[in-house]
Formats: sequence, C-alpha cells, structure tokens
Amino acid sequence: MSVLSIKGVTMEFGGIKALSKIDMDLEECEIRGLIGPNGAGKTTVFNVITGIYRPKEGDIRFNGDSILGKKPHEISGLGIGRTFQNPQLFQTLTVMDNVLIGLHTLGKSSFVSEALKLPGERKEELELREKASHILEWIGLKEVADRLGCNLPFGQQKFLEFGRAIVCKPTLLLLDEPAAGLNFEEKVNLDRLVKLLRDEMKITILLIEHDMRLVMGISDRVTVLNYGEKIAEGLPSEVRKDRKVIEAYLGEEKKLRKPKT
Amino acid sequence: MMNYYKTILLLVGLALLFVIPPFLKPYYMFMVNYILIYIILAVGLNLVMGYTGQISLGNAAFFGIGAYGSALLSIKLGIPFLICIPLGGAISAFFGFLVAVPALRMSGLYLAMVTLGFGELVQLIFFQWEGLTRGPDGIVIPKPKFGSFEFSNDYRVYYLILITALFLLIIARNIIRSRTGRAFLSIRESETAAQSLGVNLRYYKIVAFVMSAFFAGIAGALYGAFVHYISPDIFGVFESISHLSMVIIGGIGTNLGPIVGAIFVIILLEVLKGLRGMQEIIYGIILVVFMIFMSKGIWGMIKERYIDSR
Repeated sequence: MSVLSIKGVTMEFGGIKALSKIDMDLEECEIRGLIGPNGAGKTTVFNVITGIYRPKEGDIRFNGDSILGKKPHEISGLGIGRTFQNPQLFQTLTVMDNVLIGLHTLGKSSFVSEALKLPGERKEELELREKASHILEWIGLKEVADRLGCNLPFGQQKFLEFGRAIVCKPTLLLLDEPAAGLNFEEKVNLDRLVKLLRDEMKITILLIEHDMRLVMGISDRVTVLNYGEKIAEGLPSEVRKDRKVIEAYLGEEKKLRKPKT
Repeated sequence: MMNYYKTILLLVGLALLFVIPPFLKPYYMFMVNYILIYIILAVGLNLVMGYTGQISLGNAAFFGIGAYGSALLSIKLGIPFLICIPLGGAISAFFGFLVAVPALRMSGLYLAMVTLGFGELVQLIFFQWEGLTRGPDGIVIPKPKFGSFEFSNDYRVYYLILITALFLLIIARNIIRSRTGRAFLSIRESETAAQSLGVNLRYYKIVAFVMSAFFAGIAGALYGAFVHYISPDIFGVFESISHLSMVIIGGIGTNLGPIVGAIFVIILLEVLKGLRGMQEIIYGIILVVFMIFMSKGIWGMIKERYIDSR
C-alpha cells in the first residue's frame, strides 16, 4: 500500500488551473523528487496535501485513508511534516523552542495541568526537551540551542526548520527546496541527513528541489510537473532523458545532461 | 550564579511585599492596591496580545463583567464574596468564550473592531439594564467578609489582592513556559508554520482569549471589593485602551513588561493629576515619546540591551 496516494487532483485559482488531474503514488521509504520549472505547481501540491488548499477534484489518501477536507493541524497530527520554500521559523524564539513546538503533537498536557504545574506535566516537559536536544545534536545545532532563530545564519535556519519538521518523526516528510541557499558543504550534509531519514527512521520523503545534481542523486523516483500537469515520472535516469522534460527545461538542457559526479 | 541572585532577589521582594504595607500611609496603600489590580489586567491582556499576537480592544468589558458579576452574586444571592471572586473570573471567562468563538475567525483590524464593538455593547448593557445593574447610578458593594473577618480597610484588602495577584502571575508564567505557551508564541510568529506542526490555531487563540478574560474578571471582582462602588462609566473603551497602553509601554510579549507598564502608567497618571487640564495632553505626549524612542517598551528595551545580548 502506498503511503501517499494522490488521485486525479485538480486545483484552480479563479479559473486558472494550477494543477490538473495529478496522480502520484509514494511507496514506503521512498525518496521522491518533485521537479519542474517555476510556476509548475510543485508547492501547490504540498499545499493541497497539507490541507492549506482544498482541491476542486480528486482524492488524497494517506496510509489508505482520505485526508481531503481535514485541517492543516489535523493532517500534521496524522504524521505529515513539511518545510517551506522561505523558511518559516519562529524568529524571536530560541532554537530550542522552535524544535519544542515541532513536538507539539506528541505532548498531551492540558493548559490546566500546565497552569498548576502538576507533576505529570513536568515529566512530559523533560521528555520533550530530551527529544529536542537529541535532534539538535543530530542536525548540528546543539551549540546554538539558546540563540534566537533570527540570529542564525541562513543555512542554519534551513537546518533548524528541517529539524523542527522531523523531530516528531512523521511518516511522510515534504521538503520544499531544502537546498536553496545552502553552500556546498551544507548541501552534502543535507543529502546525508535525508538519506538517513529514509534508511534509519523509515520516513517517506517528497522533495521539491531545483538543484538537479542533488535531486537526481538522492531520489528513488522523480515526478516532473509543468504548467500544472504531470509530464513525466520514473527513475532519475529515465526522466533525465525524457524529451518532454528537456523541452520543459528548455535552455537548461545541458545542465540536465551533466554527468553525475 | 545568576539564578542564585535571582532567587534571593525574588524572596526579598516577596518578603517586602508582605511586611512593608502596614507601614504605608493610607494614600500609598490605596495606590499599591490599585496598581496590583492593573498588573493582573495587563498580565492577562499580554497573554492574548503579547504572546498569541491577537488584538483585543475589549478588555474593559471583561473587567466590568467580573466586577458586576461578583458584586451581583454576593448582593442578590448572598454568596460569600471570597467565592464570588473566582466566580467573577469564571463568568467573565464564559463571556470571553462566547465572544472568542466567532470573533477569532478574524484577525488583525477586523478582530480589533469586533472586540471594540463587544466592549461598547457590554458598557451599554451596564448602563441600560437598570433592573440588574441600577444603570448609571452604579452599585455600592458591601465590604467583603470571610467568616467574622471583615476586609474593612485597604490594608486588609491588600493581602487578598496580593495573594490573588501572585497566584495569577504564577499561573501566567507556568503557562508561558509550557506547551500551551509555546503554541501561543508559534501562532504569533507564523500561523503557517504553527499549523504545519500540528498547532490547532483556533483552539489556542480561544484559550488565550478566555484566559485573559478570566484574569480581567478576577481583577474586576477585586476592584469591587476594594473600591466598594462600581458604575458603568468606568468600563469603557478608554479603560480598554489604558490596559493596552500598559502592556505596550511595559514591553509587549515579555514576562515583566506588563507589570512594569501597569506600575508606570498608574503612577504617571497619578502624578499628572496635579496638572488639571494638562493631564491628558502630557500623558499623550509621554506616550508618543515613549513609542518613538522605546518602541519595545521599558522592559522590552532593558531585556534587549542587557539580558538577551549577553
């Protein structure tokens, strides 16, 4: 059974089709690249999956159940995490607090027990903090745990957002251009972490990325969108040779054919 | 080491709060009580405005609902006043919930307008429902009693207000440092990110709003117990604005800001009372100057310069 199954999803904004009849199936523990020129509808796919937009037609199933019409926080609670194209950090909160909010759905305390600081609440808080420190160590931000989000350099902000999305161990992770703005070293690190997520934490990943070397190297399969339509899908090596894809990327033909290093 | 000093400072401060008052002149005792009530109001409002980032311009209505609610319960139903204080908070919280459910579908200026309208409406009801509130004449509230102990003067009422205020401050602090508090903050910082992490925006906005109504309701009940007289004209839009200005001048979204702001604004208004006619003008000028040179508020600035920067 696929982890995520998108069937015939159409999304319109005032008569303009942002997505038309998109089908996509993600298998367990797969890394799926989602590529396409700017405006192809990649981020719209994310917003439809996470419940920010409600598609006009079609169905989206997560682990077999339809998630259509559910609110974003409910969908997140089911185990779908995401990052954003422009990092949506909690700027004036500490790195630690950013990650702790990522653990929100794991906490069970109510505001009454918190107001009175009942013993169960304290224990839960300690457990959450431990989990958060663990992730911070994993993404290499433990030393800056007490700094404010807005004071981090851009690369670290991206990693923080990444950490915040994976700390509660989602089943499916949606990454929206995680490598944009990262330097070479950071990209290598990202590549390594994403593979670890799949191999060790068994997380299925859907990845939007413009860095072709990264996305072709890391993805098990790649889906290509153009003008809201799916124009190709398959192994990176197949997609790379697809004529429609090359046309869509007109002018970037060379880059696509560049051999893997 | 820092924490060690902080604890000592806190304990000394607490001890002083309990020991000094009997030595104060009645006028100062009155002022201290007054300030404590406004600290409760400002701290409550800061939960919804400072931490959750939702505008509320109707805080005086909840202040009034707490004051009228507790006074009427004790006068008409003969419920002991000490029980009426939490009940005043509960009634106010209930109305807070009724307003929050539809109002918090909106945000920004729209939310400001709805809460402003609610404040006006409540004041109008206080004025017009003469059978219950005695309209513009207001209500005289008997001195609260606990068994045979009467809170007969400001010195006795002080301890009642102080203990309640400390209790509420601790609650506010606990909330802010917990999962709920972080959910509040996440909404303020980025609703998009918050909901993608599973934070139920509506639920937490309502919780914050209801809490601030609860705080205001308790403050209203204490106000009645302390001043012994309430009338509708107190609970108008200018009252709401003054709560707001305390939060902003002290430092919105900081833990000590509203406390500093309440102390500062009350003392300032009191000092300016001497300057008949000029009071509002000078108050206005000071507010403008403050906002220009200290846009983060008094405590907000101190925190940024001396605490966060370390």
